Amino acid sequence: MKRRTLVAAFLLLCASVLLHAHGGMIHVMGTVTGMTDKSVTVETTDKKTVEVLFADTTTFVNGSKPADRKELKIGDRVVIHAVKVKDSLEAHEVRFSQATPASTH
Amino acid sequence: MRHLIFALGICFVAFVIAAACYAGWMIHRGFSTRSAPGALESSLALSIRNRACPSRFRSMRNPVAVTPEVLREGMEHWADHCSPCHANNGNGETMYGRTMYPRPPDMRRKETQDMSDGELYYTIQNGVPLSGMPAFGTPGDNDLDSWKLVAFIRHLPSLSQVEEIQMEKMNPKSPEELDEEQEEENFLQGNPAPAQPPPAHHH
Repeated sequence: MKRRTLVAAFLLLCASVLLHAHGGMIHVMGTVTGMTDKSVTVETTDKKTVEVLFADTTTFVNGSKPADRKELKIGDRVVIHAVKVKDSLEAHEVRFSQATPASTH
Repeated sequence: MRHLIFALGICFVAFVIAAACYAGWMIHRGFSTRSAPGALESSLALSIRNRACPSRFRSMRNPVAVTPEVLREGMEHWADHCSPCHANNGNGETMYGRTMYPRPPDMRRKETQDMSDGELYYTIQNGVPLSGMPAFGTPGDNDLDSWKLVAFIRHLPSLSQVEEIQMEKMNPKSPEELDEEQEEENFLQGNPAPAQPPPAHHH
C-alpha cells in the first residue's frame, strides 16, 4: 500500500499544471460615456460602445502625468491599452485628457 | 539490500512509465508555449540554474556606483533591450512575456531581488538556456552596461509611475506603432479622430 502511494505521488509530481495566458494588447480610443468603480464605458471613434474593466494594476495617465482613477470623468477623451480576459477587456493603462474637440472653422 | 534494490527498481519503472506517458501526451497535444511550466519543472530548472552560476560570479558585487546618471543609463538600456519581454516595470506582462516558456520572472519580486549582483550580471551576460533569455555579453568583456542594468534591476521595485511614462518614450517601436502613438496623442489633445480609425486591435 505504502509503495503504491509512493508511486502515485511520484507520478503526480511528474504531471504539469497548465495555465493559459492571452497575448496581445488591445487599444480602445474614444470618449468616456459611463463610469463605475469597476469599469469605464467608451464610445469609440468608430461609434461602438466598449466596456473596459479596471484591475488593481491599472495605471492612469492624465496628459503626461500619473493620475488617479477619480480624475477620469464622463466626456473625457481616452486611449486605453487593455488585455482580453475571458470575454472582458481589462485595462492595463488608461490615458485620458479633458481636451475639447478642436474647432473646425 | 534486496528490499532496497526492489524499491529502486520500482522507482525506475515508475520513472520510465511516467516519462513515456509524458512523451506520449506531448506528442498527442502538439507543442505550445501558451501553458506555463508546472511547479516541479520550475523548481527543478531554477535549482539547476542557481547551482550552475559559477561561485566567483555569485560573490561579485556591482563595481558601478549607483548614481542618478547610472540609473538613467540602465533605464534607457532596459527600455530599449529588455522591456519587450520583461516590461518597463519588470513584471513580464508583455505580448512576448505572456506566452514565453518559461515566463520571464517578475523582476521586482524577492526571487530575483535575492539574487546577488554577480548572479544577475552572469545571467545578463550569458543568457539562460531553454528560455527566451539570450546572452547579451561576450566572455571576459566586463561589460559596464550590464552592470548598469544590474543597478537598474535593483531599482525596479521602487520604480515610479513617472519613470514608467518616461520609459514608454524609450521603447522600441515600428513606424506603424509610432504613427499610431501620434494619432492617439493627437486625439487626446482634442484633434479629430483619424478618418479611418483602426477599431480595437492587437499588437
